[in-house]
Amino acid sequence: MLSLKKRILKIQKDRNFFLVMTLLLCSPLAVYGNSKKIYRADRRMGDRFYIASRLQRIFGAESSKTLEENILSKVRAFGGACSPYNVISEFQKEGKKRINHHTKYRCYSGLADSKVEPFIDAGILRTGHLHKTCDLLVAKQQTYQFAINLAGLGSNSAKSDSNLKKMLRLFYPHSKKLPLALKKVKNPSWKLILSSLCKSDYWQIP
Amino acid sequence: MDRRDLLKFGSFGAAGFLLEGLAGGILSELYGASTNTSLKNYLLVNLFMAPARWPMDQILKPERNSSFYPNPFIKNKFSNIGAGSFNFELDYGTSDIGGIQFPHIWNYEVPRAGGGSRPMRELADHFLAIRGCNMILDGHFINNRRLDAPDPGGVSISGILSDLSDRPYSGISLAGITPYMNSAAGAFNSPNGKTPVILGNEVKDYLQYLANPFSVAAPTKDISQKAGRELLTNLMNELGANSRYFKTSNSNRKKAEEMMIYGLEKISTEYSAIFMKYQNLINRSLRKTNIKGVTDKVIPGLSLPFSTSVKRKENGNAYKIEDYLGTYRERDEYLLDNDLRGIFDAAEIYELAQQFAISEIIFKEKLSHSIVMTVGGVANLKVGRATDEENIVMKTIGDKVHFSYKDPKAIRKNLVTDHDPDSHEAGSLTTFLSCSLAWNAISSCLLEYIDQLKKAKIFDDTLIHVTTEFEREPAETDSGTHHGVTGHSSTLICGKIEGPQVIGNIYDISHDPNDVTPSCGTWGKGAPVAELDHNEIVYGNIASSICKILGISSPTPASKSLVRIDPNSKKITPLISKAKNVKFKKTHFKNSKRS
Amino acid sequence: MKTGFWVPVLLFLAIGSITLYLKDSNQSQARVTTSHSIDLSKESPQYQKVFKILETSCNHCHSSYAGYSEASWVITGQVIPGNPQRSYLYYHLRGSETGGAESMPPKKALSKEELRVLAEWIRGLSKGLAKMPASFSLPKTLAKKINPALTLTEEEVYFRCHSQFSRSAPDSEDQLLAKVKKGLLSSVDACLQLLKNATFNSKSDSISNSIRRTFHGLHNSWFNNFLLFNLQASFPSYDVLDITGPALYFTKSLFSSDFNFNQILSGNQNLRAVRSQEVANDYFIYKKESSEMRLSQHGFFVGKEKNKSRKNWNPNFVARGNLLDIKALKADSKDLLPLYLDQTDSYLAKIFKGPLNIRQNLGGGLIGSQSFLLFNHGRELGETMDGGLLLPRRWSKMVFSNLLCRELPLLRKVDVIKDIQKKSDISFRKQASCLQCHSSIDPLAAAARQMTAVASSDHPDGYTQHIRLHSSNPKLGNGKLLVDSDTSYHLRPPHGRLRYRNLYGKLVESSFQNMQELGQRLLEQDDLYICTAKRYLYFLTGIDVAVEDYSTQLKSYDPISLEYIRFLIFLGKRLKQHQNLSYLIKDIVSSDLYRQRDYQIYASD
Repeated sequence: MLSLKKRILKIQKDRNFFLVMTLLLCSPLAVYGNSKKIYRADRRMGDRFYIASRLQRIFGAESSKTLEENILSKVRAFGGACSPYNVISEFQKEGKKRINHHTKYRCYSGLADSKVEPFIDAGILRTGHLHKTCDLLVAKQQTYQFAINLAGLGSNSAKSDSNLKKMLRLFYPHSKKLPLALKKVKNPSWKLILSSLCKSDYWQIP
Repeated sequence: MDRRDLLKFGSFGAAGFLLEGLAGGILSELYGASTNTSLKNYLLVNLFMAPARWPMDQILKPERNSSFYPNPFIKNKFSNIGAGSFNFELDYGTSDIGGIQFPHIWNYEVPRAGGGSRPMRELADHFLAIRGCNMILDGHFINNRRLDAPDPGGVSISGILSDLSDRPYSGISLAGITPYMNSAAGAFNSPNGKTPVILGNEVKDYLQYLANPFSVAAPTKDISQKAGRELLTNLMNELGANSRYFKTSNSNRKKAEEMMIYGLEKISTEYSAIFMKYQNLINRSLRKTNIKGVTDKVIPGLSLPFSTSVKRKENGNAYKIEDYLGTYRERDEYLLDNDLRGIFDAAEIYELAQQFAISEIIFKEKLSHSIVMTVGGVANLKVGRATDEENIVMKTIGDKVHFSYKDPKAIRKNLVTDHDPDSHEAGSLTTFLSCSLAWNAISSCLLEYIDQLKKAKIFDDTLIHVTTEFEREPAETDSGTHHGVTGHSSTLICGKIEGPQVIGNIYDISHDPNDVTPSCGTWGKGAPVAELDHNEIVYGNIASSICKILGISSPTPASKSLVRIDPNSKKITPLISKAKNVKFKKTHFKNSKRS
Repeated sequence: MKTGFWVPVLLFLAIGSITLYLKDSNQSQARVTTSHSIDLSKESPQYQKVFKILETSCNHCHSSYAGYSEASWVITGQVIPGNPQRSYLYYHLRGSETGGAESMPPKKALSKEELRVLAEWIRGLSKGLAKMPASFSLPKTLAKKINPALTLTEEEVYFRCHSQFSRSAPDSEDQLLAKVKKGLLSSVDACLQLLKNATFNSKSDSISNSIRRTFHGLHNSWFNNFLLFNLQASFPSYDVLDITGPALYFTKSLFSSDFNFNQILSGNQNLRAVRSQEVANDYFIYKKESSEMRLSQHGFFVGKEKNKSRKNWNPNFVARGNLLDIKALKADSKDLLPLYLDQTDSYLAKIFKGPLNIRQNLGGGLIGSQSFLLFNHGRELGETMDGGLLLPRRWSKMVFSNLLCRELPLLRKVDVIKDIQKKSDISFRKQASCLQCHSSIDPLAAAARQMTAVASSDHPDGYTQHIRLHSSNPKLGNGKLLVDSDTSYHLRPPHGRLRYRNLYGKLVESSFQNMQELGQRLLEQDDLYICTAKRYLYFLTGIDVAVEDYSTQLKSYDPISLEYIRFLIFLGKRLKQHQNLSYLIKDIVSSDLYRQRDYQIYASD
């Protein structure tokens, strides 16, 4: 038979134990209670028309063939539906007026391409195509020269901070800070820098 | 607290965590999350335009004593064959494998890679056939697409799989020679918007195409690969700092670089060899075969003049030329060769070799988890002599009908044609020959493919699904076949299936007036299954079964799965009883056409 | 210690089972309203008076008014808040002396007092935001965690919207960019100006063309076209019927100054695109088997080959080039098919004598338009609807899916118990689990019961498919909605019901007499606007928020999901109020979300 004091202590102990246990056992419900995610945050990457337009602005008119082969024709890698009624058939030769800015919007591989999503969260196929395009454009003399000139530089310009910024602004027109990575490279060539900037993903998100 | 309390506390805590785990399991079940860490590979081999399966893998007689009503046109072997036209008898032959009656051709051997042959019945070791599925809708394109995306316009099995996959390619669609939107190869639809790579016949070299984005462009002298990669890594680390996109961008870059360094191109010589291997198997399976009861004896074509007794259809209408002579028909032509076996001497199934070759690479090199392969029909048939209906004269005298050429000189010589798998205009003979040889080729490729999967130790984790849109229903006369929309069958092959097994009920003979040819015999029309509340299997059940095996959620959750996976041994066993050939009851047909 | 042991365990089990029980989506939490008329006690006292007037004098002909709330009148455009003279409802009334139609009610006019009550009600209507149902309340707001280093400047925001709308970056001569740089124009206003510049019938430069192309392509990606893989895809169809047909309604609303959002689901005009047509192009737009075919060589046909009854047909072609305008499509003689077939099998097809107007429309704007009906008809050619197995169910599912962003099932078991028909021959009428979908699909499909898909000819190279509408015969009476088979079903008046649980968990059950009224019913649903908002939000930010019955699992969503739901409902409600798609875009562009480089305003997203 316990004394009154011990009994009170025991009841208090029980009560604490009781509370702790309840909390512990109820915790899984709290943990699993509010964790349902009902949204998805896709990377809102530009579609093939946007990428091609940006690259054409930077690398000039001579880049159009490369862009057509590696970006515009990869409908499902980059997204961007075709417009079914924007047509000029390649077989068509009559009429003097040829409006070429229609051609990139036509559905050259069938009407199914008119239902493609406005943007596709990039997989590695897209990354691969873009890397390849960048390498090709930098390797080609005319397009490389165009880009260098657009940045207001020459192929022998010094790798000063202000020059590096000019190059950076081709792809990131609003960037304020110069990434240290560009300065850390040993003996970089402008080609290397241009190519790396081209391959970086983030300018593709408008 | 004293030690005993602590113990009790601890054990309650443990019990709490156990229950927590249970609750977590139940909750994740409710939320549909897949807790399966090892994702399976899925290969869908669909034979486009629904060729007849009775010479292939359709089990019309699950048991030796199954009720079976022979039909004059559902045949898969010669019981005897003599000289001259119409001097043969066709039969429905079987091959007993594990008590199940497989079609006749399973008795024999198929070419083996590297030379020699192997028994076709090896394919039955891990074989589960699901028959008697009612597709409800008619149409090739819509039903072929449904093979991957069961609810038209909805998500596809390949799409759901791709969302859980971290392999470089979300899904690979091998469209063959068909416009991809018309088949399952174009039905890829993932809830998270992923897209597949589509390889069709406009692509010359599949491996090159897959490798193309990662083939490094000719580097200039002053860009070193290594320096470039280093700069890009550092640059992206800085540009992406604090960005929610950094993780995805970084992982994409790394994987793409791996692909570039790894260089799929480096395995292009290996790929050529693999391609040649399958091409060789296919050639030997189609050309100059010597299959007993099929192509071991001379098969004379049609020769006119020919006479027979007058026949009439059930409704009293007279037979037309195509009804009398249809057994020798292929599309518009009646085949007149002295030996019809010769037409297969240069036969091909376009793109099939590349499709199997790239499929081998894809799973072995872990490039993707899902492949949809759309297979075409037997093509490039070299017909020595043929004539069309315009050149045939049909004269009825009394109770005899006589056929002759209008102008013997108008016989066409040296044509090239192909067998239309959608054999509305191909009779029992041409259908049985083409489909038997097609199956010969496909099973030979499959056996080699499975060998390679076993070698790479991934056969247990791979599900191969061989199917067509639906079975074919014979016409009233031997002029062709029709769509058997109410009788689709699917064959599942996986290392974890102890075969052969067959489930799903069909009618031994159906008197449903909605059929194209009621009361024509056993062809595979779906019948009710007790475990499905006495309803026929619908494609949603098959889709759910496939997803059960793959360990992913089903695009048709309202339709039950027909298989279960043993949690320990991971063996796949049916949830419904063994296949039966069911007697037709009048009350059944009211529900034959659903919404 | 005994209590100390058992009580928490029992408590845990009790709480656990209750939680799991509640998570079962079949449990109803919101109050169920079972009739389609409104709960008058929730309306303003002014409207209560108006409602009584309408009930007495109008509802016996206009039975749909019984389901109209105060908001319904505004949303459907029939009442302009503050302006009785220009309100459709008011200026049709005898004695209103508004210079309008003034012919209702046809026999006996409303009294002067009744007219005054109506006018006062309209004048007193403010453009205030309609409140969310009281039973649906979102938990506390989550604090934003905006990273100032990633916040865009005004210039960058304009760069972003220009890039997204026209899919090209603004060039150095861009005038709006210059203004934003100088601080003369806010980025939001500049973005809105881009949209304004692309309005139809304004100057057509390449940026405006691109913007129209971008949004029309966006709208087009929302709609399915099941015809593309139907039995024998009929490829010439898309030179006669615009393949982007349903999207034209949304595009018109965005780029027309006189086409409010509510007109997307109202009216019986099909729409046609006016395009620049700079180069005459003689090829079919749909390549059959990867080869291009010339229109002039292959042509269009009507009729069957048999008895040489097949002849040439010269239809109006869909315009080609850049999108310049979207106008109402007025059918002319070229749109009449003299003959049509009920299937394309040469032997079995029956010829019907026309003329068949291929531009027929059931009303209700988009949902009753020729293209939306045709692309989603989901039936075989020649089938007439019988209310049982034969119903345009694909169309019905797509109304829920394309317009409300809702996927079936949309009813709870308790909602459909009363629909079970044990004696039916149709298997899905007998089980509650089947009815959870079918009780939504079937009564809605009744609106399109008049349609039958037909073909123009049996030409092997292809034919065109069209929707033929049977004329409904009011003398036949309404008939039942959930029948096994009714041979007159397709001829009866096209009444039906919209039945589903909306995103607040409320059971919606409203009747409609025809497709036009169904359009009105849909315009009253918040789901419609929230769906549109969701799609624009995804296009502009990459955030895809699922739309579902939020009420059943509100407590289990994570805090960030709740914020996105809150934002989505806010956007949707505002769209419902202003009925203007460019304002919706403006709302999104003005948000904090849009102004972060990586569209993130909550931590650990």
